[in-house]
Amino acid sequence: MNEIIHSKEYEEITDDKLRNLFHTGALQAPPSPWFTQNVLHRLPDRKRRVASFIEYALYIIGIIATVIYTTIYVINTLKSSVVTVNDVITYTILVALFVSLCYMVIAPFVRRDIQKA
Amino acid sequence: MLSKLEEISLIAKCVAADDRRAFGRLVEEYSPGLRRFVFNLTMGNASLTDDIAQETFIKAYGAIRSFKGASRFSTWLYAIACREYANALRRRSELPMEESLVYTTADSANDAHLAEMRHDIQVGLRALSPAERTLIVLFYLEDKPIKDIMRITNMPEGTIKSYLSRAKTKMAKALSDRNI
Repeated sequence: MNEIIHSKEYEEITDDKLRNLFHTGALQAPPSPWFTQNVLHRLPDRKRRVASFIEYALYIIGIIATVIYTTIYVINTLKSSVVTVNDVITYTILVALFVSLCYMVIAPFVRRDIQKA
Repeated sequence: MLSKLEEISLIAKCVAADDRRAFGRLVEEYSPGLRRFVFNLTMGNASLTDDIAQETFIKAYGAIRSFKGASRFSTWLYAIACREYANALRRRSELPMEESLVYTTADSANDAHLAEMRHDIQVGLRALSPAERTLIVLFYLEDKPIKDIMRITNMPEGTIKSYLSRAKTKMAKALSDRNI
């Protein structure tokens, strides 16, 4: 008897009945606590971004050029054995340039470490 | 649940900085719903569900730059999942999909009723073609509006409605036949 009623229930299946059936009795996927980790492990390796690579290359070239120029400037100053105001200004600019370039190279790594911590 | 703004911010982090923690957050947010959707499509095949769901997220990450934000991220994910489900069916076309019915043990009258409902759903879904099953699950279980289903399945509105109507008739027949 019960089955006959059940059968008739489905003969007149409506959107609401079907929605209710799915909402109440739909299969639930078994929990998978490592799902996110598994997905993250399967992601492709990080691509080295070309723009970032060029940016760092330019900073390094800048640092090398500054160091070479400063060394030559120091040698010339020592040879002349006279230090002018102009020399002091040039040294200050070279040191400031060197520190700025080093900061540009190191800052992103420091910031990332701070964020991780 | 993530707000639209949080969702966009996480996606932007993935695109701009290849931020995997942000992507992990998106996976955590959307994986339960997506796994339930795929689990119903695969008729309770847990390993296939995890394969399809994982592949969906990996493909999504690879193509995240192409996500334009015209629809919700979940809609875009469901579209990828549907394609992955179709691929899985194609791959397994030589070996028929395991579509055995999942029987659950009932400890109480309430559980027995729930188990019966689950069984009814499986019987109904088994009577459908993969495309019909996808539409039925999207419409009745995931409550996706026809507009979203059009985006997910890439089908025109009329086709979706006629498939849904045909699928409903097939399900009703399968369930009635079972009980005779």
